[in-house]
Amino acid sequence: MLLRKRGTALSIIAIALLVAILATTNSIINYVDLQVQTLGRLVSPGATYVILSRNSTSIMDSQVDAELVCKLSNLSYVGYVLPQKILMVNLTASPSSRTVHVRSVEDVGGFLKTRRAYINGTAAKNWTEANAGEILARALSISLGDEITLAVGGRQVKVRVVGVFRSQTQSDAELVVPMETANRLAGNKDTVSLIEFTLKEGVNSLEAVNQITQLLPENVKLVQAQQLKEFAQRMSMQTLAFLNMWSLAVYAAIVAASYVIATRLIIESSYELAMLRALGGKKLIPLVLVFTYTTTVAFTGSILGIALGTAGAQTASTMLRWIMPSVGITPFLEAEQALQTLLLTLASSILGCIHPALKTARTRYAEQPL
Amino acid sequence: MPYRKSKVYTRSIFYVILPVTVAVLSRVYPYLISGLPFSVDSWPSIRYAELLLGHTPVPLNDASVFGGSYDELGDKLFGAVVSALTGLQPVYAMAFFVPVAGAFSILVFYVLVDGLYGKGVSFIASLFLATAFSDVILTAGVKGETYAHPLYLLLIFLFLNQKLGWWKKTLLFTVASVSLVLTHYYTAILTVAILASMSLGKIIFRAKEGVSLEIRNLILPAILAGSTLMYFLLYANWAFNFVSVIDWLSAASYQAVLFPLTLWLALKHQTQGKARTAFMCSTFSVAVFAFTWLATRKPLVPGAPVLPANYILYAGPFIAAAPLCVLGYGMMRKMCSGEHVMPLFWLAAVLGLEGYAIFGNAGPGLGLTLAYRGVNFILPPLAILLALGVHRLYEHEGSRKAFKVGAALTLFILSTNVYSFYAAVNLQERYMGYFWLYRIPEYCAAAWVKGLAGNMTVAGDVKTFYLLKYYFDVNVDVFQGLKYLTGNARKPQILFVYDQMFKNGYVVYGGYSVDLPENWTEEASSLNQVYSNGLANIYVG
Repeated sequence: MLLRKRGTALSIIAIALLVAILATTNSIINYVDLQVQTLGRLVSPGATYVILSRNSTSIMDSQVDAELVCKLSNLSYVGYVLPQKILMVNLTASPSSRTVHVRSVEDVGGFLKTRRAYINGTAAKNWTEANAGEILARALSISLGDEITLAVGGRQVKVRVVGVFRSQTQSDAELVVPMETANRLAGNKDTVSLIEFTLKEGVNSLEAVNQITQLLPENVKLVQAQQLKEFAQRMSMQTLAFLNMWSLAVYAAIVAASYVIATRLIIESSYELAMLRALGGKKLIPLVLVFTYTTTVAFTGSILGIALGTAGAQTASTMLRWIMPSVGITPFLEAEQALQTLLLTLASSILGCIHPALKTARTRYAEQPL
Repeated sequence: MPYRKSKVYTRSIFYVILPVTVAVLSRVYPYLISGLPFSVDSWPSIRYAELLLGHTPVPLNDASVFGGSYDELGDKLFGAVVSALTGLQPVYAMAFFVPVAGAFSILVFYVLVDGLYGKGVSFIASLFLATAFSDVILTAGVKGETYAHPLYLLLIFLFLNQKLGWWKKTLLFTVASVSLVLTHYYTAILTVAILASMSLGKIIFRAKEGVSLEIRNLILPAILAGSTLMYFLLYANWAFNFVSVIDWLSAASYQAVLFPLTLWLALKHQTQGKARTAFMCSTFSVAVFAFTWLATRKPLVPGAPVLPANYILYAGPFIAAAPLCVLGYGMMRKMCSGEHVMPLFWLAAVLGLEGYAIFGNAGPGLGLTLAYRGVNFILPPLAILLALGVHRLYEHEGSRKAFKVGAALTLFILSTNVYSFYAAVNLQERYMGYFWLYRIPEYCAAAWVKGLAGNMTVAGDVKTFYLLKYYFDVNVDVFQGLKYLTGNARKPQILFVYDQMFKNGYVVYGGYSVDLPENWTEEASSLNQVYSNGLANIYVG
């Protein structure tokens, strides 16, 4: 009966529009968050430290004494130590020839594992074998089993590509070979380009880094790799915290809207409610009616709002993509977020109608204007 | 009086026979000119029917006999039964009788619309649907969708029917539901959405009228939803991973937005005024035209091709239908009954799906598939609105000018639809499903390859893939042919090319073709040609 009142549709729309704001914001934030997380995953594991030569202008110029590797490995608080030699090499893969980055490590399999790489083929095990990053392989049409020639200065080495890998790091555009290959090309095995290492879990990083710095000769420097993943996670947490706080304002507006809706319902239905009481209806009947009405309106409004917010954001982003193809925002809403919004809207709505509902329940029918 | 009665009877018969005949002829036409089943999807179904007839009695999901292809069984079982009854080989029996079964959707549609609006409107609507390009193409093929179409319309007919008793209706509905779910689960899911939308609309309408709500109407969509869920649980578990919860939520959002909008359109106070109607007619036409024009400038759905400008002509029926639909909506509202506005809810549910396909960030393949398949489901409710619009111009507007405008628009829509069909099947228009038409020489070449291939892999496009892989059980690599012909891969073991590649390129997944470089024939010529029949050439690397 009450739901057939003229104002019901408007009340549902009012709640829906408020909820739509939340749904739209959530769906866009979800997209941004996903992008940030993806970006974070593109970088090698966090908490990584790198030792480079102090005066080098690029990694290729850097020359670090290889003996440092042993010193670092002997420290109890150091996790893994990964010396790397990086060279600019002239790569010839029939019929093309190009200058590419070659990264050499002691254990290619272990290196690819730390990069969480997917490999088609096997990891290079000796100096006649190499692994090509997916981007490099595509660019130079290198296939599994191809034989390629690497040349630096007058030195030349022939290797067979035994695996093509995808790590979603910059190594995808590089050739990864065992250290011996790089030593043959560079003609020296006393230096490496950089030493990458991590600290064990639970170690006081500040103290450990201080101790390591004291061990290092003056011609090298210790830098900490960017921890984008952690940065991305913290950014997401902060955004989420802000969003939760901000949504309190919207839920407060829903409480206010429900108060107005319930009050208006009571005023507009005063005749019917008074009649019910006059006919012997219990005190609770108006209370139950107002609660049921407000909950139904809030439930319908929140479903409509979630739908409107999601579909509206997606439609707007698609239309924007038609106008500006470089814009590729794809908003989406998670099921848990939809459920959370629905429940919080219901709770806010019930909160908003408590006062007018209780007031009606307390009013005796004789006091009500007919 | 007897003379008048027989005249009315003759007219009624004519009203039914004409659209059904047009539907049957147009749907079997591709088979009649090619001698082979229409659509790439026909081959798995035909092979299944052949295996079933060869191995019967056998469990329908016996992987050792049927391989992995034993879902969507309706058309396959129908084909096997028809083949056994007629004594024809499944390939010929199914090529003819499955499209004929699909054409009978027009008969169901006629009865459905007749029950709601009368014979005149029903005749016009059925004629529109019988000639609608998209409907003709999609129901001319030997595929689950063709066989599912009459079942889908039958379910809606049963739902809307007031004359059948409740139990009889529920029983028939349950049988038809199970058949539909076994035939084509995409159609089944969409039908659940349509029926749910109609049920809720009906309940709200009845609540507004202050009569009994008839909540039991919700049982019918629940039966179909239950059957679909049961099917997924028992036979198609993969479907739960195929579409994520986020996608379901997005798809439901479009339904939830369009439902109240439709409700408002169905319930709002009817406003009169010729100027307002003329304005609405023009606005809708311009909106549809703008959307069509956009499709010739941008890919509306990720993965969709940008259509050539002349394709606006093929969208002509939709542009011309827009003003008639506005008039039809006005006519529908004048009828002041909950039953009469049900096609609006039907249309809204399908438009919701289209909205999700275009705007809902569905994956490139899924979005495109849903978008072009959805058009087929828009057509029935659209045909009803269109027919009501035409009927209004003929009978209610009263002016000769209105009559002429109505006649001109009707002729334009019918003729453009027929031309679109001709362009797809005979002129082999590139983005209209030309590759569904197989020719005898292509079939012969494929049969020849079967003998040659053994364990080797054939490089061929998607058209070749369906015939060779799903009918002749030959390994096919769809991308190797494209890579080789564009100079990006080593020589294939066997290469299958055919004449349409000169004009329309190489067919890839998603239902359209990509351009081949100008010198692709040189790449092919560098292999050894071992077979040629004028249309299809086979090379060995």
